[in-house]
Amino acid sequence: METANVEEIVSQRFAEIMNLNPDELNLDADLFAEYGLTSVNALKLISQVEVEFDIDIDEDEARNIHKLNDVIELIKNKST
Amino acid sequence: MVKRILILNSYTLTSKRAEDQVRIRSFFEGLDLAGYKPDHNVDIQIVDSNSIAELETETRNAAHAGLDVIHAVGTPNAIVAAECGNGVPVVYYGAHPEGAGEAKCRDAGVSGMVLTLPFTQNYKHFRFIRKVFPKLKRVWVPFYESTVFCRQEMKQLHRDRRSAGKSPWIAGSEPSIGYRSLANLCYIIGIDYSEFVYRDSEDLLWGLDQIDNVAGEDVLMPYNDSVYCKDAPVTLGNFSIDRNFPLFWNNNTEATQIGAVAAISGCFREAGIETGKMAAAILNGTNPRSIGLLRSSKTYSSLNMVRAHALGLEPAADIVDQFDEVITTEMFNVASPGGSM
Repeated sequence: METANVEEIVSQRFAEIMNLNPDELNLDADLFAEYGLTSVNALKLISQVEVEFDIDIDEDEARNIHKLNDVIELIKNKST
Repeated sequence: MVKRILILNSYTLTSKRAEDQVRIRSFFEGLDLAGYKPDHNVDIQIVDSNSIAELETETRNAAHAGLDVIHAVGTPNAIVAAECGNGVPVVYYGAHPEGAGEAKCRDAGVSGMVLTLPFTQNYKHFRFIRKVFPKLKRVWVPFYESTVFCRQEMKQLHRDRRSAGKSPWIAGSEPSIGYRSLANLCYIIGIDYSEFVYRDSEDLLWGLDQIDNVAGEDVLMPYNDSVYCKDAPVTLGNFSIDRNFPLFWNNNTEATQIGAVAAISGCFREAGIETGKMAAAILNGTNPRSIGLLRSSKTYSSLNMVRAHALGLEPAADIVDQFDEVITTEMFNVASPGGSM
C-alpha cells in the first residue's frame, strides 16, 4: 500500500475519533499531549487500524505509539 | 469416618440432571484423581438451584448437620457458601467482572479458580462478536439487580433514572453507567452499548419491549446473573426467538440450548477438575488458606446453527471453526431449575 494512502487513512480515522480536521493534523505531534488522546480512544484507533490493514498490533507495540507517524510506520513495517 | 461435601450448583438452564452436567462431572473427576469417589469414601450432597434464598437455606442446614467442604459453582454461590457455611472451607470457581465479589471471596478465605470472562476480557476478543454479527450496531445487556454483579451504586443509578422518567436503558455514551468497561469495549470496536437493571422477569420483559430492534443490528448479551432470576433465562430465550433478536450469552454455553445463537464461557471442565483437586486436598488436611486462587483463561464456546439460520446469519466456515461446539439440530431444552427468588 502507498505511504500516502496509509497516511490519509490513519489521519482520517484519528480525526473521526477526535472530531478534528484531518487536513490540519501534525503527524509528528504527541497524540496524548497535543491532541488529548485518551487510552480508550488510543485502543479505538489501534482496533480500527488493525481491522482496516489486517494487521495485529500487540501491547508492547501499542505502548510505543506516541504520534501518528508511529502508527503509519508500524503499518508499513507490518504490511511488507 | 466418611467425609461430606456440599455442592452448590447453579447456572442450570436445561433439564439435564446436575450429576450429568460438566460442572459436576469434572469436579468428581478432580476428586477421583486424588482418590475420593462419591458414595464410596465421600458423601456428596448437591443443591441444584438458581435461587440464592434456597442456596442459603440449604447451606445453613447442611453446615449445621456437619460438612467438610463446600464446592460453589459461580461467584454468587461462593459468597453464599462463605456467609452461610458456618466456617466450613469453601472451594469455588467464578468470574469477577470489574472485580465484583473478588474481595468478598478473598476475605472469606475461599480457595478456587478465578475465571476470566473470555469474551469481554479485551477488545481483541470482544471484536469476535462483529464477526458473528457483521451488521452489528448495538449491544444490549440486562443485569439482574439481586446478585453481587450489580453493585449498590449501579442499582441506585438505574433506580434514579427510572424515577426521573427516562428510558430504563442507559447508553454507554452517558457520563454515569454501571459497567464502564463494557461500554468502553463497545466504543472501541465501534458499536453502541446499553444496559438495563431489572427486578424480576416481568420487569425484564418490560425493559426488552422498550428496544426497537433492527434485524442484524442489535444483539442481546446477558451474563450469568440472569440465571438467578426466576424465569429470566426463559424470558430471554423466548424473547429472542419471538422477536428475531439474537441472544449471545456470556459465560454459560448451555444457553445455546434455550434460544441463544451463541455463547462463550470459561472452561468449566478445567475449573471443575481443579476445584475437585482442591477439595480433596482440604479433605486430606491441607490448610484451605494455603491453597489460594488459581486463574484460568481457557474458554469454551457454543454456536447454535439452527438459531443462526433462523436469524438470517450465515457465519463463514472460519468463524464456525472457532466454536468448540456447533449445534446443528434444534434443541430448546428449556427447564425450570429448582428454586425461585
